[in-house]
Amino acid sequence: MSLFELRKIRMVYDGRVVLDLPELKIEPGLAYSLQGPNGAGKSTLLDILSFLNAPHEGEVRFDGAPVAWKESYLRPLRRKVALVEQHPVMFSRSVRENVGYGLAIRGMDQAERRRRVNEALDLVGLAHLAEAYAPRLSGGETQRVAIARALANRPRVLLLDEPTASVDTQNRVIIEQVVAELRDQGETTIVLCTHNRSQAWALCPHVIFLEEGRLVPRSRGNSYAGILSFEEGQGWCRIAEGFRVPASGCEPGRVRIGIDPEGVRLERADGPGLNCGPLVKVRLEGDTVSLSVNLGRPLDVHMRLKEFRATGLGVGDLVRAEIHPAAVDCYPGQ
Amino acid sequence: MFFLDSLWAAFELLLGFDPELLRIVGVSLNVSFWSTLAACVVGVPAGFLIGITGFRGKQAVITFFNTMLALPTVVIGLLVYSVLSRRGVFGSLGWLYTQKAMIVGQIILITPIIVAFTIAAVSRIDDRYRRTALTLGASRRQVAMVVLHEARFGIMAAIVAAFGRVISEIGISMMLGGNAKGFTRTMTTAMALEYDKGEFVLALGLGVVLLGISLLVNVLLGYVQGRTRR
Repeated sequence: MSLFELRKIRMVYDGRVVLDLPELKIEPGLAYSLQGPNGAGKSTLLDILSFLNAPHEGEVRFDGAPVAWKESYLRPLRRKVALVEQHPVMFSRSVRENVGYGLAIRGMDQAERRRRVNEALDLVGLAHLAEAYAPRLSGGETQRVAIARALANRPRVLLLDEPTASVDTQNRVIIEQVVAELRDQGETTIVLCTHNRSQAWALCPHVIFLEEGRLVPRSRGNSYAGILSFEEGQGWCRIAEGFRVPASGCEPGRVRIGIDPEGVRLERADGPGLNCGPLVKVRLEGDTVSLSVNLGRPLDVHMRLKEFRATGLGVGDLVRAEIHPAAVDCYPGQ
Repeated sequence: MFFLDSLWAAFELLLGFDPELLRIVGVSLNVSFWSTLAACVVGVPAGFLIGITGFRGKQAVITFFNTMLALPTVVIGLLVYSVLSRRGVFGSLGWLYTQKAMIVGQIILITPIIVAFTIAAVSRIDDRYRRTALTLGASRRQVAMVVLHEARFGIMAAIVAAFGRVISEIGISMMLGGNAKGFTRTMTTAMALEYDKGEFVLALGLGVVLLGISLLVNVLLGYVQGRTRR
């Protein structure tokens, strides 16, 4: 049974449809990344999943039961789901009181609460700040305490709204480790909203991709707007100057293009040309390497470490991206 | 020189614990304390509820309380006088020219201050506090307590402002208290009387006390804020 089942969900603000989901299922214990450009409806979806806002239309089922959007019914549900916002606020109390807040309102006794708070703070590496005044923490520490505050309640679902968007590298790495640990334990369902595609790819095997409030069927990878045209029967989609990919299955004109990062091969380029650009980022994720090439728009590429070593490429090198037609999906544009 | 002489004499009165001066200060503090307490009991919950909830006509209610901030003390004095005078609705209570009448008038004066400032303090609280408490599983009452906790300094400032207003007002005290020596003579009415008599020593002494009380209250508020924020 799915943990969340959303059917025919619509959210309309000022006549504009900001979310339109015919169906969305979230399975228990899995990690999902929630991706999409700004204004795609990600935060709106998180508000529904955290039971903060009722959808204007449609049905939400949690654990198989339809959700009644009444305060008395929602409170027990909210205690199973934790939302960590992009810019979390700390209550003007100590870190310990912040992390223990959810436990205190559940009536947990002080000794058990103390143990759980210590455990949660240990997880995010901030046990030494337990007695500090929470509003005085740095941005990264605040984000980590907010995660500890959510996890102390042992929620079944953890919703993270861009948790690393405004933190430094050290804090980002720690937050990613925490998410990875939770994912590996498989007890908590994770929905990680992020603009960082390599982070999403590394942490979450499942992807929810939103585009103008709608689910984009492409499950993972690069997404662009482009112009599709046909030359001698072959469809080509122009994404940016010098960035063109083979595409088919749509009428000529504006389209959305998805490119699977694993369907791209990179080779050293001698000079400028089609789909050529500098390699701007290389990041090791276990035995896989996540790369980013600047083709006028960033193109994310994933390859095995062994394969990457064989290319002899490094950051700053000019590379040509060879995009396999099977790695390209084309959808009608909006 | 005259001013300095008077000021020196005023300090002598203060340091000598002059009985008349102490009685006047006592009446002022007593009346101000009870009127502030009563206005808090009404004003803080009212302001908090108006601030935290959304309802039709909320802006009109806020505008009403903001307008009431400008209510002149003499108008309140006249209003309460008409109710408490012998021919008034509550004339039989016999409260006119007593501290009770002064307290009633002062409650009317400062309740709008406490309500309006509490609304402002609560409205300024970031909505993320409410959302955070909700997502952590708080009930409506618990969410309200979180907002109240975050708005506490704003509400304290409202109470301090209200206390400052009543302890320094003169119109209501004069009209409803009558400036009766030992009973309804407050610091401000006494200062006005002494001025009329051309006796500046007691007036200055009372002025120093008035400023001292204001300073003390603000220092206390700052201390509480400082300790809480560590």
